[in-house]
Amino acid sequence: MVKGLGIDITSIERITQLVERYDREALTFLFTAEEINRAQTANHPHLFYTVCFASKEAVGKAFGTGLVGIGWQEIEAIIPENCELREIGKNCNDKVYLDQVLDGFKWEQSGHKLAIRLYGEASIRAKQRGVKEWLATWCHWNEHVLVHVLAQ
Amino acid sequence: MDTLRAMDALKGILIDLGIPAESLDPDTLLYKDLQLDSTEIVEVSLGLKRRLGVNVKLETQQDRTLAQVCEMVKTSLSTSSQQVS
Repeated sequence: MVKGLGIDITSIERITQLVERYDREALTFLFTAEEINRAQTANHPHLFYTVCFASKEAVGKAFGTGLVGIGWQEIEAIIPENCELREIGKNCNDKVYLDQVLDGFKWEQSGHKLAIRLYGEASIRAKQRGVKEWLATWCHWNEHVLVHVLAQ
Repeated sequence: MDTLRAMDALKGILIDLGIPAESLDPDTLLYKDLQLDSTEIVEVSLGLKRRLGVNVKLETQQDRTLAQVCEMVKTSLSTSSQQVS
């Protein structure tokens, strides 16, 4: 049974500006240590951070409350390494991502899976709502990231 | 930490985000008046952390005025200093 649905679109440029403006210590307000560590070794760190940020927003929307009462670090996005940030148009395992130009936009047809891990109040809230599983995908479109989460 | 210092820091952050200084009053609401989006709200929190060393989360059910945010800053600092002592 679906317990919640959340979608978020975030500009990569805006998160890039934010990440470049603040040091690691400040960024721990937003991101978990694991997210920061993985971002720093990712092929495209700013895209990685944007996926993480949009995931937190999407989970908040799925709760129906936003991030009220929930710390940003209590929601963690886990992006599988094998599908992580490879260039648009390249193969990812056995999937082929088509690179199309439509009305001046470049976009990917397929979404990428990601996992959601909750801590603290976010975890408690999910349990209170009977959420047993999070299904999440993300895609990169026109210099934006879209994350879609389903709580069930 | 006095309210004036917190307000100066907060206004500085908002001006850096491109908000005109003349639109910033103690009664100005973050969402309704300034129409800050979620990324900008985060930038305000990060700015407060950098300038004043406080962790203030601004995602709340009710809209907040600049004065109320300054009170949150003062409360956060007061709580931190009590924990240290």
